[in-house]
Amino acid sequence: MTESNCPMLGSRAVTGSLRRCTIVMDTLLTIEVPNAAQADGLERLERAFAWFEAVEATCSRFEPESELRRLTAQLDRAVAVSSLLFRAVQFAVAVAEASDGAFDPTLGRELERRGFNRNHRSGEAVGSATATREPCSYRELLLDAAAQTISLRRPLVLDLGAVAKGMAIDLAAEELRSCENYAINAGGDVFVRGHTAAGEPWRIGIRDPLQPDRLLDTLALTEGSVCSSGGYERPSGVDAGEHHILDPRSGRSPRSVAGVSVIAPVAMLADALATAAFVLGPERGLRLLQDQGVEGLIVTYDAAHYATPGYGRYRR
Amino acid sequence: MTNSGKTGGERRDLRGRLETGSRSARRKRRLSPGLAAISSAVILSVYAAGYLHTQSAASQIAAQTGATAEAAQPVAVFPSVQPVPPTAPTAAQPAAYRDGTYTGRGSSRHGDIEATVLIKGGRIVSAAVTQCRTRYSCSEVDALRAEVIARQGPPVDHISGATDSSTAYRGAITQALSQAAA
Repeated sequence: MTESNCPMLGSRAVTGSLRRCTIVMDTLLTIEVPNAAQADGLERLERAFAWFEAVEATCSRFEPESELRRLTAQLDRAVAVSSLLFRAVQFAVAVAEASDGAFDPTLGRELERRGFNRNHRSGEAVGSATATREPCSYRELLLDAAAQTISLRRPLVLDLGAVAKGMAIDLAAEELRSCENYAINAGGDVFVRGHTAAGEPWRIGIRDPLQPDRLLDTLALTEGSVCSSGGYERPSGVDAGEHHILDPRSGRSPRSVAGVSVIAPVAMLADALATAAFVLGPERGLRLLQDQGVEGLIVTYDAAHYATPGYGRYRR
Repeated sequence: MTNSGKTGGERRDLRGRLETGSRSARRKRRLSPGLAAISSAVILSVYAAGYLHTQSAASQIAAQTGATAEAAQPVAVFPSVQPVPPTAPTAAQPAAYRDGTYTGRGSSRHGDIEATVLIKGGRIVSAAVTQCRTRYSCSEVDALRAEVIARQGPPVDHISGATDSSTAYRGAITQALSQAAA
């Protein structure tokens, strides 16, 4: 815990506020609880952080001993899994279905091939014995909700990258729900509730995916999540021009969309839909966001902006 | 105020705004279960199951049988995303700072940034990066410098899609200004 270097440290004019940050899921996590009046505030903060550890330990593609990795090692067998893993995969499959496969949780092997295979703690590369180049998709996952089992009909590597972080944010938010005001920021995926220490609505800047030194918009929220997907943060070290978001249907990084930001009630939804819309492209992506009742902004490489009709209400 | 964005009127509005003009591509509206409902149910059920594990031994037994209770679907609560009414104050009150030069430091996954703010006549006149130890260029925070001066305070509370350097810069400015607080 690098509390002394916490970017939030030093917020002024606040007493009784809690803020803490750490590196988890290869990203900087900051949780801030302004004017924490609850006697158990610190305990809740600890548990909020613990959710991130729990989700990472369960859903990480980079931890050899994670439940996800152990599931990936077994073929054609109904494997009983934890509620956390089952629900994460179940949600990922639901997003895959809603997006006609533009979102797919079975891309782990493709991501490994592109160099996204290093454990951020140990630096060690992970690989999959079961990985072949046989094409696969979410349709090869069989889920049994009653037995809470998952079976893989083909050798594949699950990647819950676009689901797990949001899920951890939402679980942490649930943990803090008794606090009136809080903000959770995991590497630019944000969930806020209530107000800042100054009593103002939380202001969330939207980074311009084309000009990183600019903010496109500033949004004001008192409850909800804002998550963004872009190809700028994690380029592939193996293929030039490729990054960590892949179109499952082409196996390449999408070329039309530069960035997507989504405003949704929960981070898991915002994050997954931002990724799906990124792959679908501006028109189909915008329709997906509207069909699912969320707001968002899609920016293409030719600098066109596609916003849902309700997006403007959050702008400041 | 509640979040809508689901009305037919707004959807027609959207089609009007799409630049493609491909109205023929009017899609069939699917009646799939909404992902918002699914995601809320997922969080509640995982939270409930995980929460039990942190309780006493007696509760843990209940947690182990929790898998069979999966059929009892948790009630999905629909939290709404709350936009702020346009009448809400938008800018922070100009803070009265003590004149001088103040330095702060912020860190990120990719390294540290040191920023120095210059206060003259109680106001922020500059907010420069004085040390950049991030893996990437610190030029990315240039726009934030303007915002610090415009707002006379730290930039936005959080940045979605942020680079780590902007996070570090925000931390550095906040720390520097805490020393300048009158």
